[in-house]
Amino acid sequence: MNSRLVEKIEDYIYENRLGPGDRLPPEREFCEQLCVSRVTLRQAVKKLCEAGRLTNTQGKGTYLAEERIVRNLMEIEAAPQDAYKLIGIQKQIAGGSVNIKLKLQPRSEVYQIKRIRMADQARISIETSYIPVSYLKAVDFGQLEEKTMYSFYNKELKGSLTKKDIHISIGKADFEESEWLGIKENAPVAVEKHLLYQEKTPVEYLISVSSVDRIQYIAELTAEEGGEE
Amino acid sequence: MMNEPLYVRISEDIRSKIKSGEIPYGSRLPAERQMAENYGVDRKTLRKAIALLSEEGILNCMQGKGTYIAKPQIPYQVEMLDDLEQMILSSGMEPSTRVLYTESRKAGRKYAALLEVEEDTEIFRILRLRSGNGEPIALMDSYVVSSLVPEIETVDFEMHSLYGVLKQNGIEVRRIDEKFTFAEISNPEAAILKIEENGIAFVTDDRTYDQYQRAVEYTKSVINHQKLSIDVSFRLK
Repeated sequence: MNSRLVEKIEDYIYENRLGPGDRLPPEREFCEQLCVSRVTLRQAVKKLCEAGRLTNTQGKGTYLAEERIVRNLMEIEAAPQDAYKLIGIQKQIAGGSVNIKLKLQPRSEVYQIKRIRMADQARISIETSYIPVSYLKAVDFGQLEEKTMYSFYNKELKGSLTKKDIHISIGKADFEESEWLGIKENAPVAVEKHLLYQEKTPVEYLISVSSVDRIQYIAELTAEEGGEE
Repeated sequence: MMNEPLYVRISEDIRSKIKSGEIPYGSRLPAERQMAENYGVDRKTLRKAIALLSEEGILNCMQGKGTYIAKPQIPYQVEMLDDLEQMILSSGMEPSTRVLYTESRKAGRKYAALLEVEEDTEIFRILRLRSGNGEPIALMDSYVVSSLVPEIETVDFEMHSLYGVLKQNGIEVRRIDEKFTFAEISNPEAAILKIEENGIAFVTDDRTYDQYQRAVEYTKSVINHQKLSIDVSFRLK
């Protein structure tokens, strides 16, 4: 395990205050500096590339990768750097899995709202929300470009929201997702499925698909008063 | 509860039978017609109940072969301040741990920052492979401030969980800062976790804080996403 060398490279990046787009020293020079062979250095660099810290362009050297976009899982409002682009909105009869997720009666109507979520102009995710028609106040289409769906719920609903479940898995980009996110078809994607609850009733089902190399999630977990059950 | 559609109630019933062991994992559900009769519903309603459970990964519908109870996928339940062993246990699998490597070392720049200690502080590294029913699930690389656990190098971490050992030493886990991300996995990690080489895995970074707000341990885990999904549930205020 060359984890010590990986750590040394991380220290080098830190001490030299290297940021996204900065370049690591040429291989030969860096080997001498770290007192390791090329093979060993390459292995460690490969690990950091796989982790998304470095990018390796054939024949052009090794650079620090773009920082990942951080999504706070405990937050329901959009982050300040977020913006949305509306790509589709329609009222429809909830299809199989949406109907089931939202525990609706057959032939219930939902809004399907599809948006691209951007951070600092870059397209990070494609989000599809399903919301039973009765839960939305009049939708202001302009604002759909700015805020999370949460902002559009009527007041009474907002006050009584109790819980959010998020399920994250790894999937493959379909054609539409690959086009919007600028990645290859079948490239690995992070798939988030969110269910927002009012008491025991789900009120929004959201599917968010992001490229795996642009995203990072954070959460802060605390023991409740009285400790674990 | 009264307002829940019929198929939701049926799915709840099937779910509880699976949970109680009345219908075992891996077994086949009775024929659709028979089940519909038992519940006194039409086949369409029954199919919806089954679709709900398939959607959640509880049932596996195989074209022409019937519906099977899927082997449990372990939800990595983020709201619980629990260790992986508990999660594996609560999904009905037998957890096991193999310690692959341990080492006493100085914190150095990186771990000093993560554990909020001086660079020359003694820390202890434990690299563990966690499995459920013998199938590898996560590779966990943990770093603990050595002074928190006397003679930490003699502790058998195959027998005792890290949180358990900390607790025995008066350290209560109060907060965990978690980061999740994704990484491509190559050998030897891919082989250890039985993930295809250059496949994608979940990577979590956890920092654990105790009742005195001290950072007590840092763990980086590589998780086989086919064995463990990430589930977060939180209450809104």
